[in-house]
Amino acid sequence: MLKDITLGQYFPGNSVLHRLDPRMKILLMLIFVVLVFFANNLLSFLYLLLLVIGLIFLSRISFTVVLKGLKPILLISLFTALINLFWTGGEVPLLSLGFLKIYPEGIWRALFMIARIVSLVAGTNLLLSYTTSPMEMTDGLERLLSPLKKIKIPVHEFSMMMSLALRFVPTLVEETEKIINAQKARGADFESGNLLRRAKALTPILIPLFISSFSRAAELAVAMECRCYAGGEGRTRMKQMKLTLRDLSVFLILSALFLAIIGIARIPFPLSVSL
Amino acid sequence: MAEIKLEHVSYEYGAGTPFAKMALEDVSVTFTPGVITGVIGHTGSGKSTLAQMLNGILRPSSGRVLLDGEEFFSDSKGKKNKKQKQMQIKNRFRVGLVFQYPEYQLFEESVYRDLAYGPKNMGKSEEEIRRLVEEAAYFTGVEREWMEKSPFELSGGQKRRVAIAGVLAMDPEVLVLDEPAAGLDPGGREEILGRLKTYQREKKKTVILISHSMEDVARYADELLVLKDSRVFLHGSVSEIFSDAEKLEEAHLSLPQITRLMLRLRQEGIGLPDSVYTVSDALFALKDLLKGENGVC
Repeated sequence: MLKDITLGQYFPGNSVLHRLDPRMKILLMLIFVVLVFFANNLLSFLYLLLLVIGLIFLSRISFTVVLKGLKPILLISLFTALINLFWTGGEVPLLSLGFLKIYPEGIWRALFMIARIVSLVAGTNLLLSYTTSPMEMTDGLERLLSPLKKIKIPVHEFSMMMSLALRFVPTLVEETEKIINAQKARGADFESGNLLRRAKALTPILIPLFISSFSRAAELAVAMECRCYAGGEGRTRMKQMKLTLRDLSVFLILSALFLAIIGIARIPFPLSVSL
Repeated sequence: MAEIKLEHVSYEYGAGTPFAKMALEDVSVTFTPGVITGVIGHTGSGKSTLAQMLNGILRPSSGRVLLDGEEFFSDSKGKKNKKQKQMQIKNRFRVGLVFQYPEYQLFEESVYRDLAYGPKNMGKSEEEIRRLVEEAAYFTGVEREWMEKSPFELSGGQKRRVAIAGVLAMDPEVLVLDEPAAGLDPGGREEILGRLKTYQREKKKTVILISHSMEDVARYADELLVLKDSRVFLHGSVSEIFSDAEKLEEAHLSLPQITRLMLRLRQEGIGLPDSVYTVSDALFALKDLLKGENGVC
């Protein structure tokens, strides 16, 4: 039940994308996310899917894993597709069921919508989640945001908090499961009764969970202080992040490929839908 | 006295994923009613999985769990109607399960209310609850002055007692304890295990004590169930099982230290019995030996 929640699902590997500097990956992800919205006709959507397939090859992550990663968005993409299917107007209806009319434009638009959501999620998963360890991700983010330190934003502290939070998600899930089982063994019933009763039934889970989280946080703080942690000032790293020529060239090539969408979207193509 | 029995029970974690792992394989065992059965095994031998199976927290992947001959999960897999669910919860009340490090289950604002949580879920009356709580407190050594305190003010060992009392308060027919003394100092271990033994004797309960300490099971258990690689390896009385040290070693377990010492002394030609499993027994044996020698002289 709770074990199905996977956050920061990193698949260790040694592919081009795995080795790419996390800062570059974050930037690439941002570029990709923006550019997905430029695709507007069949040609550009095909190109988008091609890009995603290209990323799969670059990351050497299996298709099934990528497909499984799309499961959480199944519902939302179907929903969007259906709405677009019925609410897109056109000239000649293909099918009419009472007040619902389906136009060919609607079908295309629904397909495009699915393609857009799928490539958005698959692309970001491949560029970041699957190929970047949570550590690298927060470090990369910290370095990218470090200019903000000049205006007194505690970037290091934020990224430390983020990596700690990520680190403790699995621990917390495990802990919650343990508490649920222990209370079940004492006859707790979480599944019957009305909403209020069910909410009340959660108290025996939430209180121990809060208490153990607080004491864990306190212990962690002491442990960190014992190892002389004093914030980001003057802190060195075991893994120095250095931009190599390779990183830069991979970044430039990939971003050029991504940017090509803008050009492709301008090519007049019969099956274009203004989105 | 309730009898709990497993029939060809298997359990697989993460079935259908690449991480699938068998935690129990074809386990058939009948726990003798009215005695303490110690369950021992090396880390990862399936002890904790077994414990959770006995109380219906985990449902076997295959096989049956029988409580007094009745199947714990009367429904077929997946389907659950209200009545069957109620029945399952009722069965759960008959088998009390104390998890490893059970302190984290404490949540109420006072010790009394926490102890009353289980009986309250069973739908007992206010007086009945009071009686059950007092009895559980008596057997676990939860003192009267703690009752109105918050459980979070207590020390580690005290919390442990309250947590165990919380399960005893449901007056289960079978009590399953997963490492009840883990993480306690020797004094605390003795206190808790000794009290549980008294409880079992006085109330004639069926107790299943999961432990990895040979010393503890030697001292407190009547029968032993040895698990090895998710299967039942040995099942019998304590002396039966301890008489075959080589077999135990196969399960990566060794005899209690004191037994090993006594056996070693026997090898050196000192006339000691070969079935000494606890320090106090050893003391008697040595005393007898010394008396005997004096007699000879």
